[in-house]
Amino acid sequence: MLVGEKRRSDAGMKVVEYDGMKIRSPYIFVGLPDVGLVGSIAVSYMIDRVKMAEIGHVESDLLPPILLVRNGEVKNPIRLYSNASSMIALISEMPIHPSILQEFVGSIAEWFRRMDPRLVISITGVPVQNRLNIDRPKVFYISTDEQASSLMRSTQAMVFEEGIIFGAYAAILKACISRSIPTLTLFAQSHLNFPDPFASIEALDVLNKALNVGIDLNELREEAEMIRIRSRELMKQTESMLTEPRLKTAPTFYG
Amino acid sequence: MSDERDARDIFDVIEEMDKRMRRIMERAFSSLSMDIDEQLYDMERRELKPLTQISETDDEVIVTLDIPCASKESIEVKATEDTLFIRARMDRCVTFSNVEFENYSKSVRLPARVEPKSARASFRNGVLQVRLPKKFEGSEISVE
Repeated sequence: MLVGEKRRSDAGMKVVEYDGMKIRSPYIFVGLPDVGLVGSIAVSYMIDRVKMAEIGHVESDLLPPILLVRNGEVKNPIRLYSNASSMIALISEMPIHPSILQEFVGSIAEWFRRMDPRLVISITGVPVQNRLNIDRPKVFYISTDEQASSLMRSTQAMVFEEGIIFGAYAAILKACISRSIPTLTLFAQSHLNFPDPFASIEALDVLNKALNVGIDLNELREEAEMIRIRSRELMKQTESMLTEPRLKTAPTFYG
Repeated sequence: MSDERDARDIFDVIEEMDKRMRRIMERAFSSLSMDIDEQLYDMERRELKPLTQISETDDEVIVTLDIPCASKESIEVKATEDTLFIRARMDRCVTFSNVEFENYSKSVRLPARVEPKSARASFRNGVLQVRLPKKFEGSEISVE
């Protein structure tokens, strides 16, 4: 049992906090395995650059019995991080299976609500067929918050005018709307089933401009090729969910 | 009466545990079988198997492979009517599970017969795309 452990449960999922959370009204960044691993790569890099510390994880007997070992340390695959000021990050190193998505999103959105976030910022990719010929992927956004929309207007990002959103990010957006949690979702043009750190760079660049988070993106540019190689396994695991028959028929939104 | 209810409760609990265990096993093994279906590594030959996307149009098969750290000069692409082979050398060694990998290699079974001699390949930002025209098989039917 962890010291200071506190459990909050909802439909079989628990957010386990290691220490009393002192942050209130944070920005919450969400990076889950999805199209091109854009969110996973962006939020993992942000955690590293901002030097966030692990503050908790998501636990459930609905999740497969998987633990990760990093530098000899055992880690849960779905973890929460925070810096000392106003940022929280949620990442998962395993795809969220559609069969547990509702429980996962329900419990995590409920936890978000209790944190009274200033804004929940989800980062993901939007697949484009001609990604190979795009040097700088465009970033689109959906915001449910007027202040966030106003900030986005000062960046190169464009409003996601029309299309279909599916999967984990759609579920998070829906759950946040129903709880009146302000949200901003960024969609960077990306490969569907190849890790795409250059799409993550464009999404982070938009956040740098909008929120003034000051994340140096040079290291991500330099390490992009190695990140692509090292995230192949997660991409492969995520691929089966991205290529479900119902998703294959979804239109390509931009490109 | 109370004993009967207790027994039913126990069976309900056991059934629920059984269902939960099955769900866990199904999930654990479904991801495992996916890895078995298509390995990402050949440990013995120290080769990485690239992530691959195959798509089809009416007249082409398009195979796209993610090969970061490969140099254009090192890429070898060969094709028969039904299989594409690629091999590429990486510009640095990558270590996984204490094994050093230096090459990519993959053979891809194509979803339709193609004309290998008319295939075209392009390489950009570590992504190789091979476009193979489909072989026309059949005879023309006149419209009366």
